[in-house]
Amino acid sequence: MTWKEALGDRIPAELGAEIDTFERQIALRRQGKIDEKVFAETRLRRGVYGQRYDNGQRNDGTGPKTLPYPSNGLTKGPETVWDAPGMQRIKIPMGRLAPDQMDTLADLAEEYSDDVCHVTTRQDIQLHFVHLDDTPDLMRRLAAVGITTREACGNTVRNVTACPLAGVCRDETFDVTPHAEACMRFLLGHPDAQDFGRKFKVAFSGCREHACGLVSMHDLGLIAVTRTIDGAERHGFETYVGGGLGAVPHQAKLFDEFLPVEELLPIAQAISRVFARLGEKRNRARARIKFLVAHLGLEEFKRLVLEERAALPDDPRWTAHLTGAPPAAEQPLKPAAPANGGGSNGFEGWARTNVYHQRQSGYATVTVALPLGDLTAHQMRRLASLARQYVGGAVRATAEQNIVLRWVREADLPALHRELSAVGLGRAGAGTLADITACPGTDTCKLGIASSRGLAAELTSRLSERAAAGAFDPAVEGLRIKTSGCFNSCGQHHIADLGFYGVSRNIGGYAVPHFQVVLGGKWLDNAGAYGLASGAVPSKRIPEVIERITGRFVAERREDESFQDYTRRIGKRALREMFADLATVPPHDDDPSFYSDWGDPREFTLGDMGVGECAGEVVSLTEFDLAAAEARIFEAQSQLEEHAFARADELAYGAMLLGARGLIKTEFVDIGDAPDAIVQEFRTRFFDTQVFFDKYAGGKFAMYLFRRHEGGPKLKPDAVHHLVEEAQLFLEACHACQARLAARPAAGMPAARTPAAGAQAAGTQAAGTQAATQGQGR
Amino acid sequence: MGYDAAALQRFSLKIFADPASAGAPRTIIPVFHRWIQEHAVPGLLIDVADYTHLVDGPSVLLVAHEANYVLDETAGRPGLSYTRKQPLEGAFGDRLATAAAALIAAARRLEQDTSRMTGGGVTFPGNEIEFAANDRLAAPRIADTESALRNELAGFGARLFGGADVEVRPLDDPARLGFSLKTAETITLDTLLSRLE
Repeated sequence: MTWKEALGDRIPAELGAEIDTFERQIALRRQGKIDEKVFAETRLRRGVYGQRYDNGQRNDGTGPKTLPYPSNGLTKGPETVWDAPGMQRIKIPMGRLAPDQMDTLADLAEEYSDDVCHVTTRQDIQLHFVHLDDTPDLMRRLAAVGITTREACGNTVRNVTACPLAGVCRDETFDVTPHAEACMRFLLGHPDAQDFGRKFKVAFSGCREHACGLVSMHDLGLIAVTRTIDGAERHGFETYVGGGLGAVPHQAKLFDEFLPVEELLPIAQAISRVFARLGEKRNRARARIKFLVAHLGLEEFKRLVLEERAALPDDPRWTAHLTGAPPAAEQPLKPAAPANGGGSNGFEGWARTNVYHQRQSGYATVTVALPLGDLTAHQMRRLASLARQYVGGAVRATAEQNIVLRWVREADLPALHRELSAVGLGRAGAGTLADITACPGTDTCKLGIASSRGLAAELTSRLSERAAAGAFDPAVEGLRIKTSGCFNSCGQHHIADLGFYGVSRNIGGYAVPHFQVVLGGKWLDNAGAYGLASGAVPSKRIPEVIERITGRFVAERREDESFQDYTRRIGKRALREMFADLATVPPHDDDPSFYSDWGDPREFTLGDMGVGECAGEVVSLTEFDLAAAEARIFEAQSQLEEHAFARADELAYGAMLLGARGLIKTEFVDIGDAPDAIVQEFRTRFFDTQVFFDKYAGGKFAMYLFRRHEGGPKLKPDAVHHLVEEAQLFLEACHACQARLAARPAAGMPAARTPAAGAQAAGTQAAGTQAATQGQGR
Repeated sequence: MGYDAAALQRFSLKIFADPASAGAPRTIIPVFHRWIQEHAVPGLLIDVADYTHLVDGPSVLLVAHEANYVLDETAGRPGLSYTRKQPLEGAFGDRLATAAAALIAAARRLEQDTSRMTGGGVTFPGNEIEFAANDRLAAPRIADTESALRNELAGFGARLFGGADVEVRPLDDPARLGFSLKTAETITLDTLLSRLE
């Protein structure tokens, strides 16, 4: 019995087929039949990510050592050893979780990971120390509860995020959930979102003022707004593009003050097309859309997007979520009932920081504050049970690495607090200085320089008691601390009041872990401003930095002055001076503790850094199709062995179509899936021109495709056997043709969007954009 | 789905520490790092993961390719776990014995390596071990599998505890299939190890 058999039709057919394909691609990579770079991007697009030390090297504190994985030289990507454990990122759109999904996540953490579920700053769940060979079953079990890991990493549309209070917020303009959901479904696997040079992040917020959506730091950010048109109130979005953190943070720019909800998906599609066509592909450091917007200028970018939008053929999915019956709104499990006392120890402090009173009278949203975003499998399962008991399933993960339970009736708050506390989940201090965000840093990330989690754990330990006791000065209680292991800002340090990112300094011949102090970022107003870098301080002295700057702020602030205003008022020079004495490092012999990082006794080194996978691999659409064709021919051979001749015929034919389509995409990316169109385009572009011809065999291999396409299936065993062999030869010829095309001098022209002959295929390129494309020269 | 002992490869074993002897979990982090340097326990030792900020679960992990060694605080009961990830050779009973030997040897090493710490080292009374299946396909928690596994573990308990009366009790956690094996008398780790050879 396998998981595939056990779960049967509980796995949606489409997800099941995708996972089967991925499993075949794993098998093919084992056989060396898929290039490691192509496989790396393939697995990244399924959320299967590398981890620190997966190059087989680790400094154990006495020097660099080889980790002798039993992989026999097999790799799952450049410098990534097959048997090295990795991370599985699991997309949770808008952070929405149901109890049965939480139970499954707990099971997977126990069986395939390290017993811990980790909530990320994009409302995802991550499992660490997962073996690649376990991932197909892991994905099947997720699929059976409605979760896909597709496009969780790689150069894709990442998890679509939204305010965790959407629908219950007292201040929102309207509930963005159905729109975020529609956007997620529309862009997932969309052909126009498969050829990006880097990742693309989308976020929704219900209002301008609060932080929840963090719209300003997104590639595409949407804020709910209304406008009265012809006397009727219409819903729409204030739309922003080109935001992002990373080494070079950009504030998103206003693309449209009011984008009607009907235009959300077509504009997202048009933006995707422009990004895919004109975005940088070679220089990974400048491939995010923020660089394209900056390079073109907002007006030109907008002009190109609107031109593309005008040329898009209608798609019923654009408005499907807006027509017919509205989606069922989240319903409370129990009738509302006001609070009536009865809290146990710590209840008051917890209620003050962790309870949000919803706009629906008598109900509250409870934040379960997770240290470093972690919870054990047992805690996850218990939380699922409490969700069933108290709210019927309305749970969301948050960008602050917590989990919220919505629709808790206020009368139940004391009991819920008691039950959460019984499993270690009743920690107070949500949304305070003690509720710290951290990226994985050197714990598991290949790019980590310093231990962001180690620092966050230390700070959490020092600050939590004060948070629970309400002992912070009101002026600093709500400040946010966020830590990143490097400048890439996965911990979102730029938008924290007190942000820190890992750097290294050489002191007396030793590497010493430091954190760059970034002050005055604005978490509110949807990540309204980025902080100022104010100098690097040794990692072990960061707690003193926090004590000093918060103390000075409380003492020196003017009436109602915000922390952002205070840091800007006193200026960068004064901030540097404030920490100047803390920047010193004692000699190694006097205090060696400075020369190791938080939570790690090894002497600090940068030698364990590897090649990051955040940027994914730039793999062409052609390579993807050829890899998929290989998987399909592999399955055809399996079916042939099992005498499933009809299925083998279908798979072999499908493999040839995929191979042909891959080649066509070098010239015409919008070819689509229709066999007739593929064969026609292939004939026109590659057969009639003899581009496909083999030096010795001429057009013979192409005839295999034409014959099967025109003659239909022939299901006698010998005929199917021949077809499978012919499909294999056809694919070999596709690879050879691709290699010849790649060796040709670059034409400097991106793939066109017009068919070579016949009717216009779906999605033609906007008139006039060819010129812009050529002029762009990217 | 049915119980398939031949297929059950993912499981964990936990030996409990004397709660009074267990110090702050953070003190074990350098011990595990040293184990990597010295190849002190079997397996391809990869890294140490710090989860000391969590309660009621894993606290410090020594991550290996074949299995994780885990300082574990589940249910507030400190102990050392051995969580098997890669397949072992032999029948289920043999695999159990191999894993138990690795766990007990690691516990003995932990006793030795912490004995010089301020306040004394961690000790393991050796009279209780817990088994949990980590494969809900081969071993879901249903009556049939529970019964079959109980028999296997009762035999293993008799071997490990030298024929003494062994209480075999299902885990309190209904989501996991497993049993606690407990005997009245404390037993040294060396004695337990000798019974697994």
